[in-house]
Amino acid sequence: PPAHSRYDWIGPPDKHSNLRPVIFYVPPEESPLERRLRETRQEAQACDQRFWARHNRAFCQEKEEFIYSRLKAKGLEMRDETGQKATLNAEEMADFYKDFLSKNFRKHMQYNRDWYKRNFTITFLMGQVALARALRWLRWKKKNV
Amino acid sequence: MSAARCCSPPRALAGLFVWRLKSTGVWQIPCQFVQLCHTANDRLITFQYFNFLRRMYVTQCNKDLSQRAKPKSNSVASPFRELQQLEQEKKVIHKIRPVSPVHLPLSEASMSNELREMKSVAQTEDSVAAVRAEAKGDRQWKEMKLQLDDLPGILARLSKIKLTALVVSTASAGFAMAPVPFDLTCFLLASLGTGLASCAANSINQFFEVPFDSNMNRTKNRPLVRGQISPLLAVCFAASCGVPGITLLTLGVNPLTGALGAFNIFLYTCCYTPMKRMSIANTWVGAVVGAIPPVMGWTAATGSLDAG
Repeated sequence: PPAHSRYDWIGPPDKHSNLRPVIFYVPPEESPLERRLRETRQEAQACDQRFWARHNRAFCQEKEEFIYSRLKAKGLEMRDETGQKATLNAEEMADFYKDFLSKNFRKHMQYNRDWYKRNFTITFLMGQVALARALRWLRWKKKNV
Repeated sequence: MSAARCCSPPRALAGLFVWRLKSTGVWQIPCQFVQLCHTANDRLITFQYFNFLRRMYVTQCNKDLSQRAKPKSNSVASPFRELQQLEQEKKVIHKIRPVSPVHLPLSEASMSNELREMKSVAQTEDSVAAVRAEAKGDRQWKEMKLQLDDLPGILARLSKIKLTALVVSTASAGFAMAPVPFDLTCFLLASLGTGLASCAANSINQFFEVPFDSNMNRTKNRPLVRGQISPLLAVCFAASCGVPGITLLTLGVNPLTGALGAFNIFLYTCCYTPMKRMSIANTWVGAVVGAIPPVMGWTAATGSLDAG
């Protein structure tokens, strides 16, 4: 993002976590409230990125292993004669998904709770910042008028 | 006047030429193109690049071309002439080019046909190119600034307006089924209230589900996931839709419908959305959420929940 820009910039989705990274703009006259908001958002972004990258990697890996083991049990190879990747049908995959979800249930719940908490704090802080900015603008207008 | 004669046969080929290039991807022609590019004007350059990878360029300049193609300006005519000449040998090109300004007024009739052909080619390629440009633009860094002219589209996607329309139609079906004489104001108020409540519920749902949505192909183009809108704006929009919607239902129709609407919003945002992460029983909750709008239509008409 260009140096003279006064806004945050959002980028393309990350390869592993599928989340879009944000580069935050630090205004020169940042109030403590705004600083808190920015730091909370940065922290949340880092946490989300860590969680989802790890989660997606684990998911893909386990999915590959599962497909491989199932195909071996059936006596097939990973790729058949035409070179296409052999896949299992939805019912067999459903077993895998259920297994994955039950194994990671506690982790998912914990992340869920954290995510909601962070989301609400960030939105609440954004509201406070917006209110503070509006009041500042009104005061400035009154001074100039 | 040999130039005029030799330009008319490739007239039909001019359209084909572009297709052939696209389909076969002939890469030795680039050097010829590049030579011409340096001598020609801006529009020629972009048109030549047409067949290569500069698709962002293409969408903009294609619009340019198709806009300018209508008034038959000279600047548009010359690229087509140059393009035809490529069919022939390079020597011919060098001979024709000095003569081309003379031939422009003479062959305007043929030009118009070529223009039409080019335009149709350009339009079809435009749509393909637009899709690719969109995919390419998606991979760039974007400013997180609120674009006011995109705002209606963004809000429509935030509130899932097509789904809302379907919900309103189910509510109006419930209203129509009620065994009472049809009251237009009541019907309109009930539909509007239901629509606003649905918009609010959908916005809150999207607000809650940002990281989960970004992982799925179906939902990764939502406004909050893409950063086109801030979460605060989403919440404000939801509040500004929900509160008037529910008050409209309570005061304009009857309190029972308003209560049902509020209950439905609560059920969707606070029960269905978190439950999605926890168990599969949320599907039944979702079914109840879907079934309440017709009941709301019924209570709006009759004012109570007893059966007919």
